Amino acid sequence: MNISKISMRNITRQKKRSFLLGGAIAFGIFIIITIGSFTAGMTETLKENFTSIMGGHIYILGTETLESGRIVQVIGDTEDLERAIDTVDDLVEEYHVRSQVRIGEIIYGSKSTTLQVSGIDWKKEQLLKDTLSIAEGSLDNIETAGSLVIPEKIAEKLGVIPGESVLIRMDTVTGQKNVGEFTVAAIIQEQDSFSFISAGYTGMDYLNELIGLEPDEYQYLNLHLEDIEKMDIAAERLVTELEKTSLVETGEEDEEEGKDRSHGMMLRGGMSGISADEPWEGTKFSITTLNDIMEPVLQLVNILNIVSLALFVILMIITMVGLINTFRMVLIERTKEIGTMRAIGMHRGSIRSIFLLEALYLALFGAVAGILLSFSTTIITGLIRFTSDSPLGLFLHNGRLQFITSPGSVIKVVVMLSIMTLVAVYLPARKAAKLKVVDALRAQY
Amino acid sequence: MTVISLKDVHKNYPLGKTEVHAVKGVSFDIESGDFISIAGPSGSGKSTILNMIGCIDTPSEGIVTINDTNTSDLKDKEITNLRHDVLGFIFQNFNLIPVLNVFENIEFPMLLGKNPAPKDEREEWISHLMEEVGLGEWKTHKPNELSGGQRQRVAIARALVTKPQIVLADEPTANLDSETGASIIELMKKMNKEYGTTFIFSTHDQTIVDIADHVIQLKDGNIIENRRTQA
Ligand SMILES: Nc1ncnc2c1ncn2[C@@H]1O[C@H](COP(=O)(O)OP(=O)(O)OP(=O)(O)O)[C@@H](O)[C@H]1O
Ligand SMILES: [Mg+2]
Repeated sequence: MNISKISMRNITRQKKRSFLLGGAIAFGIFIIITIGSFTAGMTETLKENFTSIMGGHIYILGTETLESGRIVQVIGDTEDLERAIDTVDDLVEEYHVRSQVRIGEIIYGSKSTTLQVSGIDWKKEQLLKDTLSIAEGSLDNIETAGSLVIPEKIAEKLGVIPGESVLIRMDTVTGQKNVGEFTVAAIIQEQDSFSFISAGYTGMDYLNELIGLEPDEYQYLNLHLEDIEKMDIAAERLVTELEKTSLVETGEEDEEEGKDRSHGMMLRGGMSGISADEPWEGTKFSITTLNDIMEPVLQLVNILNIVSLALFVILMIITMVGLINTFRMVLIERTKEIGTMRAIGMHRGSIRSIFLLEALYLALFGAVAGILLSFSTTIITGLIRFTSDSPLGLFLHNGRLQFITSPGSVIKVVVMLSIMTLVAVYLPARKAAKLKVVDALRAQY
Repeated sequence: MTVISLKDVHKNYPLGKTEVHAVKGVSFDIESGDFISIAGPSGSGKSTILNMIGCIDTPSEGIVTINDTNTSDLKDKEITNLRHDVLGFIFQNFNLIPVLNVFENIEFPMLLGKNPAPKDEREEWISHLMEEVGLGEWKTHKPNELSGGQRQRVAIARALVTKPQIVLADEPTANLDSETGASIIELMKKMNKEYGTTFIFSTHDQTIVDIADHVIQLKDGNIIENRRTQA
């Protein structure tokens, strides 16, 4: 108590010096926590955005080969799949079946642009309905055949308003051209529909007809899990069960084979109509998880985190050198005082503690300042709303950057800082403790 | 009762390749409750002897005993405890802790012990001591706000706060004007009478020697006079 009081007050003896050291520590802490919050927030945002776009966490895509050898995207025999799905039913919150036109040309009068159109079973996709934020029109009659939801950007480009008809030119599953007529039912806000990709939604039955699928057929089955942490477990169960009866591809296999096939069916959707090298029997399933898709992102995040950690360590090493020098100076400045305290009856260990505590308090003050600075920076930056066509689109959460500061990472950084500080100051502290009392008392200061 | 006893004590300091023979075989006893002056010109060995009595330095030869304990047998921890429990120190340069105020400086040694007295008891005793040394109004002042004489009064209170048997004061008046110095010696004498504490102070000022019960005169590391005036 005596010791901590003296240590605390000693910090204020050389205010400028303490301020500079504390400031350097604050800066280092600020950098690492801010970058950490940014990457954590970005990861989370990407996960949420992907989940929303893709309609779930686990994506099952079916492909079959026709007698002609053409590959067709469809889940034809659902029996095997249903059996597999039973094994994960306890983990699933919602099932979403979808068909999709990867690149359609939407035409209104003399204007046209490209649009991805997902065929939705509106009765089942409550989550999607909840997340779409409607700018114009409504989802009330969305189940009417040919009703279409388009993003604001597309609507502006075409000059179309709800209630008007548009044409969409698309490829069928077998690679033929087809055109369908749609009625714009609703226009949705960009921020909430992830503007980096222009995605429209329509009823699945209607879209199936246009792309050459039966009304009850679908291309994707997406599982929205209750607990995102169970993703890999669920995917594994699915693969194990499906492999008993069918051909299965997973995101992981691609990795192992080292082939540069992009994960998931985001890009593979374009495979329709291509001829297969080796035709296969029945439905081949491709199972991809959000984790597979996130993997390159997570790798990038890891690199960023390592870089920021390295930066932090370098900054801290420089700071620690400053700290060591400061405490060497402190040792000289307070030699007589140390001699006095020892003469009066203070033990060596207490002298050492005074030094160590003083350095620790300084570091912790710096850390608190850095943490507060980081908090205010991320909060203020998080308030900025980016425009809908910002290239950052995919990284935005409702048009804003998301920052997530986990208490665990803050504690980790503070513990690291404390250990480094104590190690740095240990030698001067020990030297102070080992001073001979007579010599210390005879010192100039 | 003899509290301190020196037997044929020598102290050599290395000086380049040779040695300085600062204390050349000194023996004397100190009786409990005495007010002792160690006098002598500069360089005669006063500080060296006080440091050895104060257990902050060790003799090169000979024995220093405090309460029949040979101090050279003790480990650093035991010596530190002995300094804390038995001895009090007053320094020429006052040596107060600059970050602590008057009250805290006086309280400081009390908090170093194993079982510090409870807070209210401490406060009562320290307030009493502050009154005794005439600093009742200066409780919350920092040392740099005090005059030299006031600082030395704080130091006296600090030296007495643990109720030590012996207080050592190496030239406590050397940094004070003669009037203030005399008042400090008087205060020490008053405390010596009141609490029965043994005081040993060094000085090269012959005018303040006479107040002592026991005078040890040094010259060039030897005792030239060892006179006890009181029976
Ligand atoms: N640490 C040391 N190293 C070398 N020589 C020393 C040391 N301390 C004291 N001396 C020498 O020992 C002798 C006695 O010194 P001491 O300090 O005991 O004298 P003093 O009587 O206290 O003098 P003063 O009145 O000046 O304080 C002197 O010659 C001094 O130079
Ligand atoms: Mg001296």
